[in-house]
Amino acid sequence: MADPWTDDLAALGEDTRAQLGSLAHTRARLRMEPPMKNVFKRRPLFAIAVTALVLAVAAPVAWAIGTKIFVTFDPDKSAPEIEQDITNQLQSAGVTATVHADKSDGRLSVQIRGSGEALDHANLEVVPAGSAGVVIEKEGSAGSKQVVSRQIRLEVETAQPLEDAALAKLQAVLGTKEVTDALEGDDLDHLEEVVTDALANAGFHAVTVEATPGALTVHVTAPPAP
Amino acid sequence: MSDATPTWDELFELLAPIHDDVKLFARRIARSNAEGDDVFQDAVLRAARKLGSLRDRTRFKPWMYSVVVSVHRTRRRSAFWKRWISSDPPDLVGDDGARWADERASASRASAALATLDPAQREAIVLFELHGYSIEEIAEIQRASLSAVKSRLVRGRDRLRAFYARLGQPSLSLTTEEVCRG
Repeated sequence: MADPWTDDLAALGEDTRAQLGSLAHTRARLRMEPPMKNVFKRRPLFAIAVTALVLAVAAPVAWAIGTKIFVTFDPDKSAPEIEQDITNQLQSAGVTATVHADKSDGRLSVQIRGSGEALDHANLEVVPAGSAGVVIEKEGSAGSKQVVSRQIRLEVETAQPLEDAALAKLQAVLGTKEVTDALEGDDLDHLEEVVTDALANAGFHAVTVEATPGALTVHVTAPPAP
Repeated sequence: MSDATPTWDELFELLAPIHDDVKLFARRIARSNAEGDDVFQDAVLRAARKLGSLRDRTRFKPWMYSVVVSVHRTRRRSAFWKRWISSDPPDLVGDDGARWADERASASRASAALATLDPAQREAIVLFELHGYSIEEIAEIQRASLSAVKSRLVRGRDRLRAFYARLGQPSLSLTTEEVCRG
């Protein structure tokens, strides 16, 4: 038996053909300007991707934007030094959190984890030292060095606190190569799709994902499906 | 990544064989032909900017569809609130359904039914049902896994089924708008 929408879809198919317009028509409608070159055109001899993962776990209350806290660090320092730097800065700002930095395969990730009063009311921004924007190119005699920084803000707002295993699963998804590769790109729609799909495949269906040039915000409102 | 700045001539040369199909796709996932034309035009502009990132020109067709998908989702996100407070809702259903007696009304009903789907589900349903693409091809266009596409098709069909089931309850006197909000 045919689906109830079969005839309607066929009618839609025909209806959308009306006054479709030719290729010449399309061309005439468009302004004939030379395409812009990619603003973030890459020409690195080697690149360092800096990903700051800010994990905030909250009770089921609305998120509040409080005082903005800027945390900077030098990506050239060792992972333990970076951890100490960020911990000190957070403590100075009255935020208690666990900081973990990891450097491997030319990629640096910084994870800041707090709960309750610690991070949920803090508007935290983590940037590499000396950066003025999302992408920094350092010109050197040996070539170009590019630092890509995109912060991941993971907001968990569920009726019951997520179990550690679920949190670990979330972090694991956000640390996969597929996701980190997308984080380094400038196609925000693609990034949102990759993260949404990766989370769905891991059982997280109640999520909203929003990517901006400087941050990726993942808002989780329910635990993963078993 | 190619360093060459793509030209309009190159873009339109690649677009020519698939122009109508891609434009039809844009119209079918949009809420109206006019909106679909806007999506398509934005997609062509975006394609012009990003053509340099397409290394393998033989993959232009799925890539171009992906650009349409991307533009469509961006527009849907920005139009989220407009959708709910729009003063121009889809055509209303008469209590007896008489207004949907002709083909035009049938198309409007399909459009309203598709509007109840998430953008990704709508794209998958349109590509599969109307354009005849395989799940593998849709996965490439949507840059998603096969399982994700299958899930979108199943859930999309479930929502369509729910839409038509609710239309079949005349005692509720539902309007299309109410069904869309389902």
